[in-house]
Amino acid sequence: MADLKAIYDAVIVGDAPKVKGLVQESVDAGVDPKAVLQKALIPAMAEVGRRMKAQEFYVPEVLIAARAMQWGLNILKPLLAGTGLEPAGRVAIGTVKSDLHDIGKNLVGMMLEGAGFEIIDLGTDVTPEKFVAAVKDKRANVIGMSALLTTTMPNMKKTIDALKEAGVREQVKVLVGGAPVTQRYADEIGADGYAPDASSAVDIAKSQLGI
Amino acid sequence: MDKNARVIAGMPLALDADTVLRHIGNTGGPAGPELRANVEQLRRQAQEMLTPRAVLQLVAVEGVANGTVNLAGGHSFHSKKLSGLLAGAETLAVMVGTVGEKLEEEVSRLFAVGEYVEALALDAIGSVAVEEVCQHVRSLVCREYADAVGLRVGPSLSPGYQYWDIREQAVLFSLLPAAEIGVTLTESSLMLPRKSESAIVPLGRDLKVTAGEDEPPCRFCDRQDCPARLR
Ligand code: B12
Repeated sequence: MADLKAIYDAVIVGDAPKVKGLVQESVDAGVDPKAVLQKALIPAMAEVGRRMKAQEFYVPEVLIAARAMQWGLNILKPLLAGTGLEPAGRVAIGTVKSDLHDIGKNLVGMMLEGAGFEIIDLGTDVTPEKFVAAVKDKRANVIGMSALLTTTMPNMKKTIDALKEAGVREQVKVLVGGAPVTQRYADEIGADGYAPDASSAVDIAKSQLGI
Repeated sequence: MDKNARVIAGMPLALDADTVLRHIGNTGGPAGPELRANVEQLRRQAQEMLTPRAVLQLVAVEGVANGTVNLAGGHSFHSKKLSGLLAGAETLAVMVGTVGEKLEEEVSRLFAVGEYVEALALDAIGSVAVEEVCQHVRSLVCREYADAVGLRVGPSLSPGYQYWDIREQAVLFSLLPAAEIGVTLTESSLMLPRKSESAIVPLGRDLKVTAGEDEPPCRFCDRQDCPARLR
């Protein structure tokens, strides 16, 4: 019987090769891939998030853990594909139209994936129409918009308007973030949530979905 | 003084590890030592991905009053706070600097393959690199122009900070041939490549607000929570 606790510990310290090895051993030994995901990988990332809030961990530790989780996830993904396992939520994330900055958006996507969300990465320079299509065609129930410049922030509002026009605003939670974005701006444009960094983005996504 | 724009390329970049780490934020956790080793290694590799270059143009100031800065050639900047910072300016050294896009491409690749730590470290190296490019030009302005003719030097100021609307990038770009160093401005005031920076350095015998050659521009930015902040 492979040791889920060992996987959990290896994710927290960010030992990617070890996680990969242990996850492989587990599934080879017949452990349910869902259990590996839900009882080792996701709880480990939750613990990483907790340590970040407690200021025992900072961004580098979180990134190393996330990478380790990813190595494990890569083994599990093909096995989970046919099982009908529903993710915590489906987040369509992108940098808004006319903006090309992606590192912040990528960090947020990575953390949400670590928390068990399915990520639909729309990339950068994402038009309102593309966000709408992600809700309609890909069943996204969360939209995450990122902007690094005040000049591109208004495209967040435009996307929210487009969601309304398409009649899908009520089906999704809209989260916004990026260096110049504030809680006040998020309220002003009618977004559901704002987060100043990637780990609080996870909290807000969860609380919005009632998880 | 030069009437023509000057292109400066290939300036040496120190890519100081401490500065890079400061950009990343708090690195005092258990992964700190590993990250530092990463940065040390990446800063060497990064040299090959960087093509530092800048364009510099001196522009005469015709008048500074009440939120408007009138420049030779009929151009003008509009910002109340900026005009305060430029009181007494006779000339502006206007610059755009970049390190090209090769590093950005590598950052994206690293992120896509899940090497998040390296991606973030390399991204920070790129930011520090472009800051060094502009600092190099600032030093050159101080030494070759200002000191030579006895002008006082002001802080490096950039569109997009609290004192100056980012849309004025368009005015700044009309003052110099940024295309010569491969930098373009989009309609949303975004410079491409992303690792680019624009700035003006005010010069004048009676300049009111002055700053040292190596002084970081943080004093004029009120973003207190910035990891890159120096004071
Ligand atoms: C490093 C930096 C640079 C670097 C590199 C930029 C880059 N990204 O490649 C350089 C030196 C090149 C640069 C240049 C400029 N910069 Co600059 N820069 C910064 C700085 C210090 C950090 C940005 C960064 O990369 N952070 C790291 C990433 C990981 O963080 P992030 O993108 O913010 O993402 C996090 C959160 O915002 C959040 N988040 C992000 N997206 C989302 C999405 C959702 C849904 C959620 C919930 C959360 C979330 O979580 C992320 C992870 O924690 C910020 C100030 C700051 N402290 O933030 C200014 C800042 C972004 N820059 C600014 C400016 C003005 C400029 C310039 C225009 C200056 C100039 N005239 O040259 C240029 C523009 C460059 C261009 N290409 O056009 C302003 C922008 C303000 C505005 N008016 O729009 C800022 C905010 C500084 C300030 N004090 O005002 N910059």
